[in-house]
Amino acid sequence: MSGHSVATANPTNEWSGGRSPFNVSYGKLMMWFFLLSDAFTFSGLLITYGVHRFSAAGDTSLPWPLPDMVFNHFPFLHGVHLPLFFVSLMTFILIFSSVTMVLAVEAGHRNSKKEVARYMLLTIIGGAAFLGCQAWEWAQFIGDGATLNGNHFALSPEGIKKTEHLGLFGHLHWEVADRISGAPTFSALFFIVTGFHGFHVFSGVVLNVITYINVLKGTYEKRGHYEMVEKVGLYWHFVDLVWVFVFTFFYLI
Amino acid sequence: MSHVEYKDKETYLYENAQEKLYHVESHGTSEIWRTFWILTAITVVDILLYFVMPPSMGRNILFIGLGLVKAVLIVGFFMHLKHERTNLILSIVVPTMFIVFFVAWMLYEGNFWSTFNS
Repeated sequence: MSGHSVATANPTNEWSGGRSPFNVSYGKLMMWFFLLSDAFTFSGLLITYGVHRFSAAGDTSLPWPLPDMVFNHFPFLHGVHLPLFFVSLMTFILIFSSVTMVLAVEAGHRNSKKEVARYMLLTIIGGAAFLGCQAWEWAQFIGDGATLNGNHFALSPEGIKKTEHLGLFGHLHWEVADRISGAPTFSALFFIVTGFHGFHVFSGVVLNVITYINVLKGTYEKRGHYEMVEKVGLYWHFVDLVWVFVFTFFYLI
Repeated sequence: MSHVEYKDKETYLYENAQEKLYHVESHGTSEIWRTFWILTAITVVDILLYFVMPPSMGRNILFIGLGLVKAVLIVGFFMHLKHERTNLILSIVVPTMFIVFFVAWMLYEGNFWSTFNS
């Protein structure tokens, strides 16, 4: 050891109490570990989806439906083939609400109550908008005939012929003969994974509302720090992080 | 605030003056907005690839790669992990190796099951 390390903390002292060895508070550290366990849960669900889809590749009796031909609705544009449009909108909403959340955290570091409150409110609005979009998406999916244990979204030879020359903004109307039963896990895993994610978004919005009320009441101002905003912020960003992979596996691939 | 008696200095520090245990400094908003624009750009690239490139395993790998880049940006900058201490970063990042292991294992199993289906 050189003599220059006088200013740096002694490693033995770091762990002997009175200070945080990770330079974060207990609550924030535990939030990180909770999110790590949640990441395992979500990766378990997403990997299950991947396995089912991968192993259904050669299945001709119950083929895996094309996401392109299932998630192609957009509000007020009924019957128009617009794959990925609505879900991209949802992605941008969630990215933007993540930005307002991190801006609230940054304002909290400066103890600016007014700014924290404003950005928290924007985050809550973003989260609520996302939940509304997801409800609409589910309503379309269920309205099309998806159930937890079955769907009829796989295409028959007639259906494949119909979609061959279908371009963007093309008009699409399914006849009964166009579609056959698809792999049941397609709809089951869609409901379970997006439902579990949606429930996370919902709890995130609830936590954000509670924190927002406390910001307005001045609870954190009295406490002297806005660390609670940081903790719910971590949770909120995690929800955004999971959506990145839901978006990739359910809609892009 | 009511008057609360604390048993020792540590309890006082953990329950009240946490800024004495650790300190956070504001890094300003420029990094936040830069991360936002990169995330938006990657998502736009995702959408473009979806419409321009025909579906293939290569495209899938590209989507997963871009997803991982987005994940690193969100965790690193939005969740601030990049600016935390190395021991915290390692505590969070190293256990995710289990996920990599699970993916590899399940690709092997899925490949086996697909021979049953076809």
